[in-house]
Amino acid sequence: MDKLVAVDALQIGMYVKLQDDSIKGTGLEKAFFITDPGQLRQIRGLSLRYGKVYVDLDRQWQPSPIDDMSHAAESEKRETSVVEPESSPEQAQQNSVDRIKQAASDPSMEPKKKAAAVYQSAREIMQTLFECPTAEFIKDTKEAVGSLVDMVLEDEEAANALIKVTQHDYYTYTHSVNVGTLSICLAKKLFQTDTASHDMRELGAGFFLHDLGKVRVEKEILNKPSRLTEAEMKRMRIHPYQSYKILQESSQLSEECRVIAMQHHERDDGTGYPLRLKGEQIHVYGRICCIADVYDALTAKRSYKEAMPPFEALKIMKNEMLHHFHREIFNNFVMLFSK
Amino acid sequence: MADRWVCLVCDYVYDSEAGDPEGGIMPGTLFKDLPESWCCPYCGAKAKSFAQADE
Repeated sequence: MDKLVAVDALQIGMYVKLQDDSIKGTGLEKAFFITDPGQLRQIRGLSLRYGKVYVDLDRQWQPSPIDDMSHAAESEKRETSVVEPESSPEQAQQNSVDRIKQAASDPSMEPKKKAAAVYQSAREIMQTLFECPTAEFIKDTKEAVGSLVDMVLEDEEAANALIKVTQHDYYTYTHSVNVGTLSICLAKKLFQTDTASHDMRELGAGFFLHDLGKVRVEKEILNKPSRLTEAEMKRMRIHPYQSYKILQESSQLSEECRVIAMQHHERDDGTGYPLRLKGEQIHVYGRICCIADVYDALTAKRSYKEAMPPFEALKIMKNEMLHHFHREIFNNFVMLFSK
Repeated sequence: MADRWVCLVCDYVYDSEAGDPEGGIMPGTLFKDLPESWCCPYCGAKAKSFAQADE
């Protein structure tokens, strides 16, 4: 039900509907949730009839559990890292790529062992990449992810084992591997009758590289061992676009897959960022990554919270965050955990 | 006349005095005259996500 509300009475959480003539030339959308105080300023700056706007009283936005859980507060302690310190980064990277290719395609390796070996190598590769996001290392990562994707597509048991072997530490590179892995498994499920029309290896690389832009966020923010301030959270929001730009600059990925980086924080109800896309405007690849990303953020350990068990994370996503996701894609995601 | 606009997504400030040279925008370009294709150089948000900065 729509009600006319004076601009001074508008509050965060309301869903406003503006008139065409009010927003003409401003670039503002016609209808949207107010999620930021700055939007109140935007609306007050418009010329409105009687100084009022329509508000849809049946729709209300509230901050989501995930908004408070900033991304990994990681330390850079080298002694707990996975990469061997003696070799040059290029050599270490090549070794890891060889290892993942070997493990992924080894017919005699038992699925659980295979999954563990592949997961470990993937983390090594991603750690090196985040330290040095060059086009060459992006290319190496793409190659490695290709092997992982082949394994997921061809070896059902290893794929299931890979989901179970995910760790929940602080590090951005671990998070990238987790989101990459879960997204590939979800994509496999969604496109199973149609894998030929999707370049699954390219897609996999896109999922793994969605957070690369974090290398352009100040280390003090990335490594902060406590919750982020509002200003710091806003600074973090540059990372989807920066990921997109790095991938564009390196010319290693198709536009379709770069879009994953750009869109992984968009939400079905239009309250995401950076472009506030809604529903069908969000590419299915972006929607897949978003779900895996939220899940991993919920289940990750933080300095201020323990890792949440999978079942609890899924429950929260279903009961409190369903408007963020495409329903059917979410249902398929849940099914990944039923094996 | 100050013409400063803040990105609601990431807090980047567009100041018309400085423009956005890297983004192809000359100093002196008013916010309202930015091309449709322009986006926040930090986070990629479009003009609709900007509000005039408080003085």
